[in-house]
Amino acid sequence: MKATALRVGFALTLPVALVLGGCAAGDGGSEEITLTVQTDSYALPGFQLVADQFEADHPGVTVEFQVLTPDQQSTTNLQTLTSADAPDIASAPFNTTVFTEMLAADQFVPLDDVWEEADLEARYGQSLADAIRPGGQQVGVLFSKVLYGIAWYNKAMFEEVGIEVPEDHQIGTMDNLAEMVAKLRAGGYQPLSIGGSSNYHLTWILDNLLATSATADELTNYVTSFDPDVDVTASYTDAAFTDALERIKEMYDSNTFQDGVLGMDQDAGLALFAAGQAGMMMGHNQTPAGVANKESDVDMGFLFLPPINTDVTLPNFYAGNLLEIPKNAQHPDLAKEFLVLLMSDEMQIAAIEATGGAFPGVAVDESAIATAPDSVRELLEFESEYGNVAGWASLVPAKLGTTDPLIQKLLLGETTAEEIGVELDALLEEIRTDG
Amino acid sequence: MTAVSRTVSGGAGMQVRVRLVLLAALPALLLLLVVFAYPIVQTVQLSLSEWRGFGPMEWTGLDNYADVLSSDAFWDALRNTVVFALGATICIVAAALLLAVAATRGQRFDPAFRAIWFLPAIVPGTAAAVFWSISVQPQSGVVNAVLGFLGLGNGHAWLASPETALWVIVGVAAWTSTAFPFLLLAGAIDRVPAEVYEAARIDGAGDAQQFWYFTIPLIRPVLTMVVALQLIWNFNAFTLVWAMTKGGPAGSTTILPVLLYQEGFKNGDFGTAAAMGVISSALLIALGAVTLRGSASRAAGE
Repeated sequence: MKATALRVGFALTLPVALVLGGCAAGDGGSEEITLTVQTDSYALPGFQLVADQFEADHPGVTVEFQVLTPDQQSTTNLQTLTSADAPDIASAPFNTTVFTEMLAADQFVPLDDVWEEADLEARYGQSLADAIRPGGQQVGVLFSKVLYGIAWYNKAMFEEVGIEVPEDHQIGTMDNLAEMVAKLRAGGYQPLSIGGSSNYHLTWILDNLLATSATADELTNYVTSFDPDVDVTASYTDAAFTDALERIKEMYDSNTFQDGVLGMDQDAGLALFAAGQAGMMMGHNQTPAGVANKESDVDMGFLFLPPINTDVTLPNFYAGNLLEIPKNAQHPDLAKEFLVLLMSDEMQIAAIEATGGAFPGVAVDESAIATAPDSVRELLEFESEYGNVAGWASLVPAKLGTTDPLIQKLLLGETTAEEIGVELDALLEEIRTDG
Repeated sequence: MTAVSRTVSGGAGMQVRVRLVLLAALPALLLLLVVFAYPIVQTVQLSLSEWRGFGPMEWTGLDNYADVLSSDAFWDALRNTVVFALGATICIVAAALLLAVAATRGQRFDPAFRAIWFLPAIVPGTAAAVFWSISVQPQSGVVNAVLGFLGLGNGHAWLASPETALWVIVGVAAWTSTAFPFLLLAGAIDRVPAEVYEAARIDGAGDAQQFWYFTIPLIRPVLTMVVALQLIWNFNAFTLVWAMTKGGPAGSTTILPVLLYQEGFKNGDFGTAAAMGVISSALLIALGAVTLRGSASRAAGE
C-alpha cells in the first residue's frame, strides 16, 4: 500500500517537475529565437546570404524560410498571415488579393522606420517609392525588380536553322516572326514556348502587347481605373485592348506557340526550352537562372515581340515583389532588422550573383551588375538605354488581371476579344463599386 | 403492491441505465459536435455572409446563393463535375470489378496480382498528376511516343483540347483510384461460398452467367457502398484537376471544387465559395440518400 502511494506520488510529481523545469530553462539567458521568413524559390539563394549574415550578427537567432509558390503567394497565404502562427516576414506581392485584403484590414506593421533607416525613398526613386506605398502607407519593402515580356532565344539553334538575329532585339513585324517560326519548325523544333495552362503566362503576353497597342494615356488609365477616384477613360472594349487580344489569337492561329500549348504550364514550357526542343521562350530576367537550374547550358539571347502601334516593344516592369511584417508576427523588431540588412547595398549586390540575375530593388552601382550572367546583363543594359513599361496585370487587382481563362477561350474560338472586353468592363465596374 | 414497487424500481433502473449510456456516449457526441456540427454550421453561416478571409462576417442573407445560381461559371462547373464524377466512377468500378474477378479465381499468382494492382494507390496524387501530364504531352510524352510507334501519330495534345482534357483526367483518376475498390470487391467475392458456383456450374451456368446472376447480387452491398463512395470522392476531387490543368483549357476541366477554390482563395470571396460548398454538399447528400434507399429497397425485395 505504501509502495503504491509512493508510485502515485511520483507519477503526479514528475510531470509537474518537468513543466517547471521547462519553464526555468525558458527563462534562462540562452533563449533560442526562430525568425520565420517567407520567400520564393528564385529569391531563396539571395535570402540565404542575408540569413547567414543575420545569424552571425544575432547569436541565438535562427532564420527559417517558408518557400512559397506563386500560387500560394496569391491565395492561401492570406490564412497563414492572419493566423496566430504568422511568419515574421510575409511575401505578399503587391498585385495579389492577399496584399489588398491585408492592407484594407490594417494587418501590416507600418515600416516607416525601416524605410527611413534603409533610406529607401531616395534609393528607390520618387516614382517607384510612390507606386509601392498605396495611400502613402509604407507597409512593404520592394526587394527585387522584375523585367518580363522577354522572348529568350537559343543562340545555337537560331544559327543552326539560319535565323538572323536583329541587333536591336526587335523582331519588328509579324512577318519576321512568321519567318522565324517557319524556320524553327522546318528544323524540327518548337517555336515560342509559353505556359499556356499556368493561368498567368498568357496575361503576361497581353501585358507586353497592350503597352504597344495603347497610348500612354490609355495605358495609365487601364492600370489606375480600378480606383473609384479615377475616371474611366479607356474601356476594355476599345481597340487599344482588343487589338492586343487579337494579336495573341493571331499568334496562336499561325502556330507561333509550341504544340499543345494550352495543356502545358510554365514549368513544362521552360523544360521544353531548356532541353533544346523549343527555339524561344517567353520569360523574365530570371529565366536564365531557371534554365540553369534545369542543368541546361543553352546560350541565350533576348528578343521582343512585334509591336502593334509603337515602333518598338519594351520589357514590362514589375515592382510587386514586396515583403511585409504581419501584425501577428512574433518578432517584429528582429524582422525589421532583417529587412534593413536585406535592403543594404551589400546584400542587394550579393543577391545578383547568388540568384543568377535577380535585379536589385534599389539603385546600386552599375558595376555591380557585372556579376550577373551575360544575357541578363545585356538585358539590363538594354533597359537602361530604352526604358521599360508598366505591366497592366501587375498593377490591377488579381480579379481583373487574371485573364488567362478568357484568353484560352479566345484562342479556342469560344469567345471574341469584344466579349472579353465587355466582361472586363463589368468586372471593373464591380471592383470600383464593391472594392 | 409488489408489482407497483417492481415497476417503480424498474423505471428507476432504466433511468440510471439511460444516464450511464448518455455519459458514456458524451465524449463521442462532443467529438461529433466539434468535428462535424461546428464546421457545418460555420459554413452555412459563412454562405449567408460576406467574408474576405479574416475579420468579422457581414450578413448578406441569400445574396451569395442568388449570385451562384445565376452564374454561368457555376452551371458549367456543375456539368463538368457530374461528367467527371460519373465518368471516373464508372471507369474505376468497372476496372476494379474486372480485376477483382480476375484475382479471385484461385490461381497461384493471385496474391502477387493483388499487390501489383494496389501499387498505384500508394503514389501521391500530385506525383501521379505530374507524371501523367508530362506523359500525354505531344512529341515528348511517352503516351504519344507509343502511339507514334504504332503509327497513330505522336502529336496529340490531349490536355490542350477542351474535348479531351477532362477525359484524360478521368483516365488518370481511374489509374490512381482503382486499387482500393479492387481490394474491397475482391474481399467480397472471396466471401461468396464456393458451393454457389459449384451448384451454378452443375446447372450449366457459364462464367458470364455466374458473374451476372450470382457474383453481382451476392456482392451488391459492398458494390453499392463502393459506387456511392466513389461518386462522393470524385465529386469532391481537386488534386488531379488542379495539378494537371488548373481548370483549363478555357474552363473545360473546371469542376466545382476548383471553382470554389478560385472563388475563395483567388478572388477572396469566401461567402460565395461557401454557398457553392453548401449547394454541392446538398447535392451529395441527396445522391447518397438515393443510392442508399435504392440499395435498401432492393435488399428488402430480395
